[in-house]
Amino acid sequence: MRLYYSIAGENEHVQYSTDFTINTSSSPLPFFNQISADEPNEYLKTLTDQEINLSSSETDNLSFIQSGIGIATRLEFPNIKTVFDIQGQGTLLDASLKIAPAISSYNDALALRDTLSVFIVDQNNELTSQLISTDGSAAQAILNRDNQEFNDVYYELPLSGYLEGLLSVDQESSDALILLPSNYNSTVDRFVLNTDINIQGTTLELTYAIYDEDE
Amino acid sequence: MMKMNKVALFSTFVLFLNFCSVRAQSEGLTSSPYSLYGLGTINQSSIGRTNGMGYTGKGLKTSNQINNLNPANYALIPEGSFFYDIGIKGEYNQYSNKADSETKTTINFSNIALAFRVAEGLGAGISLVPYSEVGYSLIGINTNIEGTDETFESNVNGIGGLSELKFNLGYSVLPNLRLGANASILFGNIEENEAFVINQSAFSSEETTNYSGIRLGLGMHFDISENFTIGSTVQLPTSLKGNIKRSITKSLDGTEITVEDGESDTSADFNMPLEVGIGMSANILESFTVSADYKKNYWDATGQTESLGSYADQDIFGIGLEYVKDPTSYKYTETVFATEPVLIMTTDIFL
Repeated sequence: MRLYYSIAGENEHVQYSTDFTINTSSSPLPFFNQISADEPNEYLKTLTDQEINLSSSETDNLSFIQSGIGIATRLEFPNIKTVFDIQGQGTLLDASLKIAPAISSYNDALALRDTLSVFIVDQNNELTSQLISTDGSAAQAILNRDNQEFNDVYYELPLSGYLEGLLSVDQESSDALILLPSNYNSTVDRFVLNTDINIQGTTLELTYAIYDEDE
Repeated sequence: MMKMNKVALFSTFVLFLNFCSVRAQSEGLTSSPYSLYGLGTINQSSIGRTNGMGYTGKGLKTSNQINNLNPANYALIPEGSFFYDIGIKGEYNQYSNKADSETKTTINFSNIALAFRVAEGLGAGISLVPYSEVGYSLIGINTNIEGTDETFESNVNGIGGLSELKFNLGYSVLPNLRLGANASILFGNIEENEAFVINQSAFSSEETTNYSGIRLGLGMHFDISENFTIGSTVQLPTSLKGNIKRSITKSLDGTEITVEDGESDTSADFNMPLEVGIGMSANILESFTVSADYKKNYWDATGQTESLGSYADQDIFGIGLEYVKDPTSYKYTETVFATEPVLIMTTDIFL
């Protein structure tokens, strides 16, 4: 931001300016914007505070991501430990979450981004960290367009490391994952995701090896 | 102390005829993939001349060797005799299919045994013989991932085996009727390793199962005439206690994770079947001895199943023929080098 000012001199005004720079290296980024939606989606009217979670069972199995007004898809795995109910002793070998965007929620103007970022949030939906793959890089949900001609596109998120962490601790975690557009602080992308497990909107694929069937 | 009336054992030429029908079973191959099943391949070879006689000897009366197949024979140990027997066994196997062929040579200790006389008509002996042997390696087993149409490929190998320490007692009830009893301690380890890779993940398991148990048996010899003997044996069913030690490691996206580290667990007991055998032997024309055995192993009654299948009753037939030029000779040269090759036929039928 630049402030122009002038000081009256003997014959004329002398013009000066002062720059106010934004320190982009500090964290959190000191920027401010306010975006408000006049007529939010009927389902989202209840979301008046950051701590409110809206279950997809109350939104016709839809989940929403809208940059700017801070709406994100939150993923919880409260029942993941039921894999231990499988007969025998076993261990998790692979996990992958597939989430399909709702049909007709995207078009050329409202394009799907190739990736979504994944963050870990606490029970108050405060970001705690970015989800890291076991190889050290930031985990991403990647759009799979292999069968786009059949409208079969979905975001695929490798979760073996995160779920292994949930399974190996005794207490229940109150953490959750949220999905955000990759450049969530500089875009206003929006996504509508289908979470219906019955029409394969959202699928969690676990590969679980049973090494002792007797127990 | 040592006095051995040694009649040499002639097995210069051995012909095996194996008829495997209905189910694939195999015996006596230590590097055999069939040792995957149960406790491994059951060791057929025993002590001394039995090996050259088609593994028969339940009805074989011998007073100058250890016959480990029928405890009743221990009653025949002559006065002042002390027998011992140490054996080594070598095998050469060749496996081939359309694309590959592979040979395996294994040399292994096969037995150590001793026998002595306790009193008139009462003999005893101790033997240590491998009971079963496991040695297999299966590469590239394709298995369906349950619930999907995908498969994964794994490598499995196993090694180990059980030993049988056997105490025998034989007693002559009548000059032509002998009874025997034996008690065996079965013990040993079987190790199985499996490893596979799925997508970005790897899995490997090492399991060592320790088995131990005691088994009892009875035997009988009856001489119908000087040259014709029948015998029978029974091995009572028993169950071996299993104790498993397991180590599991996996790798998720390149990170090693130890799932279990040498943890102990009881595994299911292994049930040994009732084994009933009969045998006969006859001396013909002084130089020939023929011996035949039939043994039935009642696996069905153990009610055991594995993921690979269930156990089925076994019928084992064996017949052996021995030729000794001069049975009364004490000279080693006369018995070994003067003999013609002997054809010994073994017919194993597993149903």
